[in-house]
Amino acid sequence: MLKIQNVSFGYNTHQVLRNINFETQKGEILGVLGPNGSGKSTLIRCISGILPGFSGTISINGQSTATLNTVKRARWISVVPQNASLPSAFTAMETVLLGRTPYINFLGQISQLDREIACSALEQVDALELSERVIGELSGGEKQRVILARALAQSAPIMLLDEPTSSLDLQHQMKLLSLVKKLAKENSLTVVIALHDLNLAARFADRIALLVNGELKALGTPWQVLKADILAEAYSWPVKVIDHPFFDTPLILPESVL
Amino acid sequence: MNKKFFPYLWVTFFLIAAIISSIAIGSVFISPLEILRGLFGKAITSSDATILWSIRLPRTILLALVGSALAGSGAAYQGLFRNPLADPYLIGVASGGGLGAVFAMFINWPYTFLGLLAVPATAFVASLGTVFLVYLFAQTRSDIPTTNLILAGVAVSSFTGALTYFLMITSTGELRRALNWLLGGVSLVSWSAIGALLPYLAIGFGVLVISGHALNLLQFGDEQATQMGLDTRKAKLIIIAASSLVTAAAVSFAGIIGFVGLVVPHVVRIFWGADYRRIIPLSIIGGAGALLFADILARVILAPQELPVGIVTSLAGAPFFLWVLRKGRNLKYW
Repeated sequence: MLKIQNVSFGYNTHQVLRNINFETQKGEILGVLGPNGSGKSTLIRCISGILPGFSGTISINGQSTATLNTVKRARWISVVPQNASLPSAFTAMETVLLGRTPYINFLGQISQLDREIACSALEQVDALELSERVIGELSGGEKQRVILARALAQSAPIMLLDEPTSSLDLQHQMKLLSLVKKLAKENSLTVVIALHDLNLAARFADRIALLVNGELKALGTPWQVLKADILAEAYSWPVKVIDHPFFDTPLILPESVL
Repeated sequence: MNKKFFPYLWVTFFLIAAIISSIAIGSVFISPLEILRGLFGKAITSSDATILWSIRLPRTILLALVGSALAGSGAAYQGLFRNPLADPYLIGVASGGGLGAVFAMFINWPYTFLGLLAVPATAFVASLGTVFLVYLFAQTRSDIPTTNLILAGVAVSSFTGALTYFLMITSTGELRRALNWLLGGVSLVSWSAIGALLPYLAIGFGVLVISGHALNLLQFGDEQATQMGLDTRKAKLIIIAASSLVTAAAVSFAGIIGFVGLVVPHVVRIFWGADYRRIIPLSIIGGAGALLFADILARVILAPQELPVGIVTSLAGAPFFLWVLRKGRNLKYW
């Protein structure tokens, strides 16, 4: 589905991504992990097409994204950005309808179909009752669901999420990620999601890509990647990994002192 | 009442009231009934007919067009720059036009030049030239960062503004005329001015009205707009070109009229929300009405002397806007 080949990216002399290679399958959730500054967001931004200056190839079903124009790319890839700046005066519905941009003609006319798709996207994220509220009045969790609905309305087979839970509390983190998982299943979306929290990644990702200093250090299932030695080296902090008492996933516990 | 069309009804009513008042009020009062009779070709007194057809009607139409140009492009610039302080003059149209106009006055160009009126023609060319210069300074290889545009606009405006004042100080003869122009003294009222203005406005308004969706996307920032499928560079270029075209055309004939382009879009936004697909057309209609009412004041305050309408838009517009701002202070309208 989505294939990253030899992708490198740098600002002037500072190299942010070094020779990244991986491939995702349809309907898979790939968690991108790594310490601060490891290049998670940069990778997401390269894939989404807003950092055109990378070297290497990013392709979807064999077609390089560099050959796609903005509209065509937006039909393939939708994005839930990190700490998205949101104009407070738009209503949730107006915001979600903007997700229909790749399908709207140059006159900017919104069709009945666009409205129906926007409604069903809001319904899928359980936010239909927010549709006439303005963004400025919504809570952090509600905003994040509206942005998720906007990405869904784009009807793109690939969805990128850049630390979508970073400003959410425990309940909303769990709700949002469960929702992403459900949506990935229902709509057979390919999801690439940058996450900070190792245990959330263990819980929700099918596979995990671990970035350190812009390099792909490990790629595989949570059991394969989230190992004590790998993580200790990646984060320069000793960790213990035990079996999760309730789920078939690893549970990562940072040690308290060096 | 359909919620979608309700705002249009309001501003259209406002505009019609403004047009009728603008034609009716002046040194000679023409009753609205007479106006209607005159407009539909019925017999009215010949002095009324002269006033109607040669003075009031062309002035009303010209000012309505100028008001819509300023408010429409002001709305577009506020959206493009995501800045509530943006007005149609932000990136150099006014200062460039001012320099062009004052230059034409001071080198005593003949009144017409290659068949065009010298002052509006030079003002128009200088306006667009200045914006183009700002654009060249602001663009990078892959984008037009809006911060660059604002800063380049401020720098170039300050430079051309200084040149304008330099010209005014070093010569004496045309000072009053120049000042009048810079304050928005609409002096070149004629049917041919309207004819010259119309094609530019028709093109510009057409583009601006269909740019509403792109402006909505730009409110989320360039990155999100791109990710949702907008070619931001192209969209910005088109919006800047259309806004500059209508503003330059308006400034050429009416001089620099302040405040209308800043305030009308905000009033529209406070009343009817943040959707630019609505803000742009409503500002275009509302701006026409607003400038007409300001012009009526400009004509009657010191009658028979006429004030530059730019003074009135600020004098009357500022308190009005502060009042609206107080009324809407609980709304998240920006």
